[in-house]
Amino acid sequence: MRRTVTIFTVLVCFLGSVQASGADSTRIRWVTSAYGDIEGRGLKNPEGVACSGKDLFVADTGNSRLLHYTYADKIMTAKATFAIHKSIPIVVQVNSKGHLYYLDGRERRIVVLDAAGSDSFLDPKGLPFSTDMVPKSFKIDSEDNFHILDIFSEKVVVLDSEGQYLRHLAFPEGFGSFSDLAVDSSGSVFLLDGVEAKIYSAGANADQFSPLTESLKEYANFPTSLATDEEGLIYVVDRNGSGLVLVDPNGSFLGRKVGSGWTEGLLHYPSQICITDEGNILIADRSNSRVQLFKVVGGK
Amino acid sequence: MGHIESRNMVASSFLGALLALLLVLPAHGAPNYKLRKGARGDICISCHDEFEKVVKKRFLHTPLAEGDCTGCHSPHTSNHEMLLAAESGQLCYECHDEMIPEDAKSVHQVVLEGKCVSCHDPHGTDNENALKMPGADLCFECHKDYRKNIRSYKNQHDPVEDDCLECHNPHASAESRKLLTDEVPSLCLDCHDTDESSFKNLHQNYPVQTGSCTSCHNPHGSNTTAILYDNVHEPVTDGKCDECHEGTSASNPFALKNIGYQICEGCHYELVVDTLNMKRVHWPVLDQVGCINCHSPHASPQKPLLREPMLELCGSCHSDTVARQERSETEHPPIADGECYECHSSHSSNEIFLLRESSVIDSCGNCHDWESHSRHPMGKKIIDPRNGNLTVQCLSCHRTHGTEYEYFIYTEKTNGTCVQCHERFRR
Repeated sequence: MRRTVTIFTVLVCFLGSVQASGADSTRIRWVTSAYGDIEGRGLKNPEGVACSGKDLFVADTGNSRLLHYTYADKIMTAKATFAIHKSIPIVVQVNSKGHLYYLDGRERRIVVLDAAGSDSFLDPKGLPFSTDMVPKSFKIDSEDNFHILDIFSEKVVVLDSEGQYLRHLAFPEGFGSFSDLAVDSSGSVFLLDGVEAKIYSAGANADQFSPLTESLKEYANFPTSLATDEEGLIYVVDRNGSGLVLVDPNGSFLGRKVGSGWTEGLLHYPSQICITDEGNILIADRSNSRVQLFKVVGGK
Repeated sequence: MGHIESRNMVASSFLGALLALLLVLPAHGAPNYKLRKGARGDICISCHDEFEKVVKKRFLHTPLAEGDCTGCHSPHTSNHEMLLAAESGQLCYECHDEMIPEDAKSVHQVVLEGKCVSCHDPHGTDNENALKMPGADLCFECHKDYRKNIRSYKNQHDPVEDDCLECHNPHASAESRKLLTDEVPSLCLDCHDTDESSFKNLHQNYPVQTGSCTSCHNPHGSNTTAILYDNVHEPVTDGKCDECHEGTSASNPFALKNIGYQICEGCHYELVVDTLNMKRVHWPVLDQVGCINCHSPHASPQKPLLREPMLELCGSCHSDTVARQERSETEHPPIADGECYECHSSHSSNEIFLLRESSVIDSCGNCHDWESHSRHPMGKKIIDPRNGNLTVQCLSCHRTHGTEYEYFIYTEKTNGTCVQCHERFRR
């Protein structure tokens, strides 16, 4: 009898630890931080980041410019600076051809930056609705289509690389306020409701959003940005809580990572996030006026 | 005697004893404790003689009226105060389990918490339903602000003068929020005839009986004619509903002529232009709902036509920030008092967090004479040793909305904050 109880106890402990390790075995380790451009001029409240292979781009919002870094061997090296006077870049994206796009917070329009450094506005064509657009965020998918979070028409509007309308998805009912969106490699779209701390999703061929998570208020104070990795893991930036919340593809909370502070590896009112091809995480650490790169270890 | 035979004898004896016991026990119902007459109630009063007056009250709780104190109290011992047979709130539900309907849209907080005795005397009073006080006086014991406001209003709403229960259910409502016995405007139409020509004229012939009366009228009274809320949007005062809404002959007269901030731009052009010209615009201004995310388009008790007091309004989205101040060890008055506008612009700004001032030091300096409070070097020329991109300012050490430590610093002790930069003094 005693032997049976002992074996049973050992089994329960073992299974419990296996389950627990699956739930929260992902570790986020700080790799490096970048503070300035190639000439050493410091960042100022950067709000946007974009990742494309070894190339990393930063919307240095406070200095009205975009910065280009490369990443290798745990070092981010500043490469180029694109001054965009009078613009307030708050979101930056890069497509498969290396073309840069940013959301101008003052004009509230998406700007195309060509190789020569000239900019022009992205003009949506063929929209089936007549209201003005107010993009709050946008992402470029693997086919170079634009997915625009339009808070004025209350839609996610999808345009091709030339700006031609493809389709749209209406906001779901009962939302608080959407702050960001993400598109994964399969074309699924994720919406982040910052006020309700909820994530909605729509499959590649879906015509509406449905809730992916319950409210994550218990884990995130005021989430404002999200990104997905190749395996469908969702990374949510908690701006006011200065942390990261991880959610699995089914919408289950996996854990809360990183903390608030000034030392390297900590965040202070972070903004946009992007995931590199190697699965590293780049975060615009806004109130610390820097960007930080983290490595994801284990757990998947 | 064999082994099997002895076992049979034991079994037979046991069954016989059991049968005898069953015959002895009473055939029906509760055990007979051989109680004296009046043991469940009348005898109690022989010691608890203060209840001699209580039992003469006009409205008695049924168990007491039936002389059954043990209906609620355990006569010997109990794990609950006052020798109650169960937890106070739970006890009431054993008889009164219909108080909260399954599909309740609103529930009175005291009912939810099981605090029935907040309103009812469990024994009896001279007030109907054994209420501790008659009418609205009971409600005002908790809802003190309403007492103060209602009594000061120039124009009263008759039902309010009579009794709160003219419109509210004191326990829960399956019909409406705010414990209303019916949705607005159905509730209002119980008294107000919207077919009268005077009514129609006053409302510019708009079919307001299909709308929400309380978007303009304060149901508790006000200082304004027709008990409109105390702050009225000018087009409403002037009866110019069609400034914003389609005409009364339209298929949907209440439809807006434009959406978002664009509808307000017609009259508030300069404000809208100035707002949109800033580097950062508060996002609710720009969405489809626009200005009326925060402002009531008709009338409001709050200036400047805010839907709610500022703390509740801002807190409806920024609940984490408001909660942070509530938990904070030290109170920061502008936040605690709901004066978010002291530091932040509600519409737009050129600064992050929509701060009014470009310098945090200037912002804090509006209230705090920091030069006398702290001689610590601060300003644009003082580089933060932790990060060369930052300068030393108030937020280097303090978190404005509060922390769990005194003076909103990030560490338990002041020197813990100091050694963030002055590392050589770390122990």
